[in-house]
Amino acid sequence: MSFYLLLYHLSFLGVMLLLVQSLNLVWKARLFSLGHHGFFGLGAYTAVVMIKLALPAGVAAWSTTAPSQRIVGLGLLVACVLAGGALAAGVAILMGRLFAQLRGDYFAVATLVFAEIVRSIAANWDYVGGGLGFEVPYLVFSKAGNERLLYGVFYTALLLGLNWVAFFLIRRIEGSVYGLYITAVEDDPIAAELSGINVTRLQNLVFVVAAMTAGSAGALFLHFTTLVVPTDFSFPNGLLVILGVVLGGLRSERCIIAATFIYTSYEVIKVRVFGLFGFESGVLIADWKEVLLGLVLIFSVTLPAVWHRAQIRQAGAPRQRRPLLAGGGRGGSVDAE
Amino acid sequence: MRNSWPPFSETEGKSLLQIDRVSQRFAGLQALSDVSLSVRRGEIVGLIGPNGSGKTTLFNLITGVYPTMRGQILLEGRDLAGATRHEIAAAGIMRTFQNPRVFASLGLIEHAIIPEQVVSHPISFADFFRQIGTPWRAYSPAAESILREVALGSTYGAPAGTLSYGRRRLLEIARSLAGSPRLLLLDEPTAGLNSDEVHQVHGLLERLGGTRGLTMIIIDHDTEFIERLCSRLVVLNNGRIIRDGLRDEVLRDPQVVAAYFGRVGPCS
Repeated sequence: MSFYLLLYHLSFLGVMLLLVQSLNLVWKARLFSLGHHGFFGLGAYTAVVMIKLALPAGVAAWSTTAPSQRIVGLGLLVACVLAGGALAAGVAILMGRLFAQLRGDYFAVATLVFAEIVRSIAANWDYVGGGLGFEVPYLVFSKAGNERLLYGVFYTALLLGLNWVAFFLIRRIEGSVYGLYITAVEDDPIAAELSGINVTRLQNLVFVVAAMTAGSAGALFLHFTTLVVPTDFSFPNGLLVILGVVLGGLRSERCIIAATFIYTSYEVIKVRVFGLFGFESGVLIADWKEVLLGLVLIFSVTLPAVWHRAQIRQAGAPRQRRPLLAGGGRGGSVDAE
Repeated sequence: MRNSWPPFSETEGKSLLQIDRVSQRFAGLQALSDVSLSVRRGEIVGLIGPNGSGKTTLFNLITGVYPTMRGQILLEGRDLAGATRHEIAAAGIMRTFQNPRVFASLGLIEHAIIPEQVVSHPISFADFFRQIGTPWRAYSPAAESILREVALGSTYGAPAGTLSYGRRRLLEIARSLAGSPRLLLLDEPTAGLNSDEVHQVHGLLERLGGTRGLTMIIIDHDTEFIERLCSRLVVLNNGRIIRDGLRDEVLRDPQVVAAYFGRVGPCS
C-alpha cells in the first residue's frame, strides 16, 4: 500500500507544483489573482465534457482491455490536456479584456468570483454530474488488479513530465527578456512603463500562460483521482495554491517548490499515516488538525531561515546575507560600495 | 509604433517638443497654468524654479504620468493626448526621476537591455514566443557599450538595489539612453551627489548634447551646473513660466531673482 501512497503523493505534488509555479508568475507580474483554482477547475471540467462526448456509450461501457482502446484512451487523454489548457487560456484572454481596468484588490475579487462561477456551474450542471461529481473512466490502463500499479506509475510519470515541461518553460521565460520585463514590473511598475514596457499587455500575457498551465494541470488531475467533484475547486483548495506561493517567499522557484513539498507531504501524512494509530488518536488528530497545520506552516517558514543561519555560522565569517525566503537571489555577486 | 514616426531629416529645424497652454490642477492646487514651451531639436533647456513651482509636474504631463486634461503636448507635430506612458516612451521621450527609480533586483546590464528591446520589439504574443528561445544575455554587448558610455563599468554584476545614490542616478540615465530617446528629461540629475559625481554627470551630459546632439530638458537646483550646461533657461514659478530666454539674461532678471531669493526691496 505504501507505494501507492507515494505515487498518490507525488501526483498530488505534481499538480500543486504546476499551480503554484504558474500562480507565482502571475503574482510576480503584479496581478493579485486569487482565482487560479478557477482555471484548474475549468481544465478539469473541459476534460469531463470531452470524455463524455468521446464515450457516447457511457463511462460504464468503456473498458480498457483491447490495445486499440488503449491508444484511443491515450489520444483522448492528450486531447483533454490540450483542450483544458486551451480553454483556460481563452477564458484568460477574455478576462484580461474584461478586467483590464481592475487592479490590485479589485482584480483579486474579480478572479475569486470567476473561480466561484466555475465551481457553481459545475455543481449545477447535471451533464457533468452536478454536485455528486463525475466518475472518470480508466483511459489507458484498466483498474484490474494486475494493472493498478502500472496505472499509478503512468499518471505519476505523466504529471512529473508535465511539471518538468512547465518548470523548463518558466525558466526559459525568466531567462529571456520577458523575465526581465516581469522583474522590472515587479520592482517598479511606473519606471517600467516609462521605459517603454506595455505593462497591461505583459500582465495579460503572463496571465494567459499561467491559466494555460493551470488548465492543463486540471485536465490531468481528474485522471488520478478518478472522481471529480465541484468542491475540489472551491476556495479552500485554491488557498493551498496561494499558500505555496506565499510560503515559498513569493519569488524564488526553489523555495516555492520546497514549501509546497512540505505542506503537501503534511496533507498526505495527516490523512494516511495518523489513521494507523487507531480510532482514538484519529479523532484527537482530527480535533487538532488546524493547530497542527498552523505549526507546520510556521515551521515551513522558519526552518529554512534557521538552517540558513546555521550554515553561515558554520562558514565562520560573517557573510553578506542573502535573504532565503524573500528571494532576490538575482544578478551575481553583491558588490556593495 | 516607433517606425511610424518620420525620419530625423524631415523634422530638422522644426520644434521637437511643443507644449501649448497646458494646465494641471490637483484638487485645490493649480500646479500649472497655461504653460507654453517649445523645444528645438538639439537644444539643452534648463528648467528652473523654486520648490513646488510645477517643474516635475510638467515632466509628468509630458511623459503621460498624468493625462493632459487642458492644453496640448506635441512631439514632432504629433499630439500626445491619449497616448499611454509606454507609447510616449517608445515614441522617444525618456526620463529620469527626482528620486532615482531603478529596478532594485536587476543588474546593470538588464537595465540597459529592457528599454532597448522593448522599444524595438513591442510586447506581443508573437514576440513572446520568439523571445523565449533567446536568453537575454544575448543582448548584453550592445547594452555594455551604453554602460561604458555613462562610466558604470565596475559594478556590472551587482543588483541595482545595492548601488550608491550617485550610481543609481547614472544608471537611470543609462536606462533612458538605452531607449534611444529623441528627448531626454532629467529631473534633478545632481541632487544628492558629491562634487566628483556632479562633475561626472556634467561631463556625460555635455558629451550627449555635443556628440549625439541629444535634446534635453534638465531640472536642477544647482545653478552653476545648469549655467554651464544650458544656453537657454526656462523659469517656472507658481505654475507659470515667468521667464524663457538666454541664460545670462534670465539669471539677471530681477523677477527671477525675486522668485528664488525673495523680493529685494529698499527696506531689506
